[in-house]
Amino acid sequence: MTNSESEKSHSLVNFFVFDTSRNFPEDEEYKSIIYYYPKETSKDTQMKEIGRTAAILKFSQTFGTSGNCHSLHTRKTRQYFNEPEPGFCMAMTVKLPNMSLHNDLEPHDKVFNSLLVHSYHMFRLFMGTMSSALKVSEQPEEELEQLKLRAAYFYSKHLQMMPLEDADLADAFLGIQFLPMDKLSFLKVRSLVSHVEQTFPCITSTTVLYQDQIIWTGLCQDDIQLIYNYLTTKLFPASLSLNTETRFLTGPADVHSLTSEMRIPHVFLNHSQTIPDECQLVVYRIAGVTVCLFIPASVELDHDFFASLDLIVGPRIVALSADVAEQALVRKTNSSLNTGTDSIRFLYFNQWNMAFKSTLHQSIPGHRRILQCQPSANNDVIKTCADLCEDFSSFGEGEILVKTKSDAWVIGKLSNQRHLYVVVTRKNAELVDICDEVRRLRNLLFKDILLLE
Amino acid sequence: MASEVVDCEVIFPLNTADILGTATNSSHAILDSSDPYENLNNLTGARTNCDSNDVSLNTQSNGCTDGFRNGDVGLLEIAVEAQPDLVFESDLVPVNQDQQFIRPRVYLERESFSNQNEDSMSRTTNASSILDDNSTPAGDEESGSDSMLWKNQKKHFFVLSEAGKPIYTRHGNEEQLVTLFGVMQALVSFVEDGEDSMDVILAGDTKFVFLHKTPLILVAVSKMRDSVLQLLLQLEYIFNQISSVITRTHLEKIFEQRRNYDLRRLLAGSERLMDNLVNYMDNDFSVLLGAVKCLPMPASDRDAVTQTIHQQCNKIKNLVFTVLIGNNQLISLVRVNKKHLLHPSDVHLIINLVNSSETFKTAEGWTPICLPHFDPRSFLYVHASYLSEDCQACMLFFTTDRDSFFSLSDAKKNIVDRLRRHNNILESITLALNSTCPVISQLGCANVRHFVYKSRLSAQYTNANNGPPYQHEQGQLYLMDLYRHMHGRMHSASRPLKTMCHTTEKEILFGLVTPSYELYMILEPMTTKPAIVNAANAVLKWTKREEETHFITTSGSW
Repeated sequence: MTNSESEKSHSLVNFFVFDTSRNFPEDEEYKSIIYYYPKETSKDTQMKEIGRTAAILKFSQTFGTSGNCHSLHTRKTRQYFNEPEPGFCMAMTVKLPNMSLHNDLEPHDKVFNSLLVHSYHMFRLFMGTMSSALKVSEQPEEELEQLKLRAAYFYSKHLQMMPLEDADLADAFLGIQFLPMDKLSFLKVRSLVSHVEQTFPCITSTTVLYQDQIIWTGLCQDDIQLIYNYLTTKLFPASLSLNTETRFLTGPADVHSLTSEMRIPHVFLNHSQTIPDECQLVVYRIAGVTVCLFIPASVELDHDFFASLDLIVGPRIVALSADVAEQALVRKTNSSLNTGTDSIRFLYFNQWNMAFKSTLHQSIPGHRRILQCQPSANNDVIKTCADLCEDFSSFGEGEILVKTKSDAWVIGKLSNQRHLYVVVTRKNAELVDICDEVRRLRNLLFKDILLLE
Repeated sequence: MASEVVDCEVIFPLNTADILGTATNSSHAILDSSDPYENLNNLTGARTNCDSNDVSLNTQSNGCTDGFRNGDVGLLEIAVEAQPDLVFESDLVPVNQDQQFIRPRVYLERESFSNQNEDSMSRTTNASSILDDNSTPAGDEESGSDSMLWKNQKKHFFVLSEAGKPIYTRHGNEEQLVTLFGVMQALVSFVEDGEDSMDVILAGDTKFVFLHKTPLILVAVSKMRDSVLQLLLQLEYIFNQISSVITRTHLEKIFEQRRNYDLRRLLAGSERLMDNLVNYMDNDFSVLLGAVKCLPMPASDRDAVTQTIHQQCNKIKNLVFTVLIGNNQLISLVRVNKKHLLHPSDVHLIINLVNSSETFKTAEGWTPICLPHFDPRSFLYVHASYLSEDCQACMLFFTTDRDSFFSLSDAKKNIVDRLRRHNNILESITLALNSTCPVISQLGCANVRHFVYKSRLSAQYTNANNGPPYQHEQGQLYLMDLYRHMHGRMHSASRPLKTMCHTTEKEILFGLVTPSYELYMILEPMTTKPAIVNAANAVLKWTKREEETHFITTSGSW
């Protein structure tokens, strides 16, 4: 990274997880550190940082604060905190770019805080809860050993993937793109799912996607949000480099070879239960359609399973795919009609079903979405949307219209758990014009959805 | 005779050599880049934003060069920061500080400072070790950090020394919060060890804002909707309030000599000033907007008052300016010299002084005061008294001459006499003080519940009275909080706005900021957008029409 680049972007100073419930003797306090990035940091510095974090959390509790301490601003850095489970704390420090030069690059607290929270959710998805990794032992440090290994394994990879440079409100929502279909096509997909689940009773849940859009899922809201995020930001991009013949994105690399290596990730689902379900995730893709199968960890999957799965499900999906592709195409032409001009763009998020749609971003299958808006207003408007979102959480449902210093209008609406943010960058627009404009957009795109007038 | 009027007390004798040193320094010290305060300002991005919230600064370039040619650095600062319409003048004679420092004890309220132990507490910067020692001294449950009453307070302010010695807490008792003060000091110094500075902690709905302004550390903890910038500004005010009692120069010197000094001994008697200031900041728009509110009265009456004061004052040597205040609002401001500008924040401190001093009602007060924007390094002397039993407006003369009590006392008597005789203007002042202006009904806009209008060019504002549903105390606090939120969003450091219109379930918040004015309104929740625009226009039209009644429009210089 060149000098000028590092001045402009947020860089990760440190990221750590530590235990807050065990009492270690004074000279062994470092044993409470579960994970610390960067690895090379001296034990002394690690302990100091953790001591400071613990002090800040404790200090903030003195005042009977509702809600947990979530961030610390210093002149040069931002630190974010999360207490994911009782007895554990995690923190992440981000170095600010030179603020006097780039005032607009200030990280948005809401967004960066959700990156940290999300990093824990992903950990929980693949590694289970932190407390589940503890093993009963007389020695407190031995209890934590297994957890330390898991954290090191997971976070060393996860931290590289964190979108610190271009994180925005979309990362805070972590929404899902659905592919709406007509009834008949949808029923076809539904019957495919039933067929698969009946033929292979070990399958507890199924999710079907076309490219980056979800058609059907049997998972609960929280789980599908994370699985979808994993698929679209990690597994699918990684699969671009795979042989096109490969049908199992997770599973045997070559279904026809008995000796083929098996790589099946385990995921932990249904955290609302006392004991989450540990499942194997098998991802099968053919003709643009992806089927995710969740199978309990106790079931041993042999080569025959994958071979018969490929044999029975493959042709059915191929038969279905033309239908699905057509539906996707219809939707695409529709939506390009809908987006209108460059001067009016929107971001929509439904908290009920996590549905997300944005013309402020450009989404390319297999890649991270990018912001598309008039460059001068880019950073400003998407952060203003995040500001409005924060106002909704403190004032409740309603509507906010603002005109930014760059003369862009940003309109936020929250009604019935549905967020809509519209950015209008037309010159010399007045308050009343903007309202008409937004009403027009809403009638066009969301006429079926109730939004507060 | 002066000692009959106020109970004067020699607080501490100053070493003559020190004072001479200070006096010579004072003309150059502000430009000296080694000043830690100056450095801190340059480093804190947020503060720059605080100060630059008035466009009118650009129009002040003339005043700026004038001040500079004069060689008086204090003037330079004033000329740059003050507003054009609040400009008064006199010959500033170098202050003769070669005397004992005398401060009247007028505001003794609290009893809790009688026995303080001098022990310097050993502090460690290792934050975690302080945590282990989290027990507060047992005792009065009402004020310790463990009490629910204390925890439920919406807003705290703390002042401590760099050594961690408690100086002020808004709620509770410093002695019982010693550990908490220690933690705050440790956090600040821990972050500063890494060549960084502690700015803000955010936890749920609570903001913790830190301001380290050598030699003090100030901390605000708020569960209200204040923005970080607003809280920083409030901390600046508290710092200025402390400076106004002992001057910046002296404050720095004390801690240079004794890091462990217990400043409460010096501030004893001025706790009421601090308590009043924080309440004033909570309940009044002035500090929030950085502007002054004038008492609404017919322009002709106001001119007559100003004229009368001026006639009596222009002959008095060393008088800097004269201020007449009633109901926390400015009635008249007479400057005796064009070069002297008065910064709104100094006016707020003056209002706070009047607010906090019951004694001015019954007797003439004579007290030194340092106005930090005027000159942070030296004292002015103020003669303060109410006009009369029947006219509760407080008249304050600011002078550089510590011996002019009697001449000012005479001047005040003459002014009151003339105001009484001349068409009985005194009565018009009383009338203005006792009447409330029916602003909302004058607007003729049923949708508007409340509004605040600030003229940025003159740094003055006016607002509607708190009508339904905000007429009660709870409603007023709620209303202030809405305005704080609106102001915070409009003046955000990173993303300032030009217009906002926020429809909530209970009301509509509307804000508009232009280079020359700021308008904030609270409207009925069902108001349509065109009706909002109409209402905004109605308010602007009203302010234009009523400008002379609600604002001091004459430049006030002679």
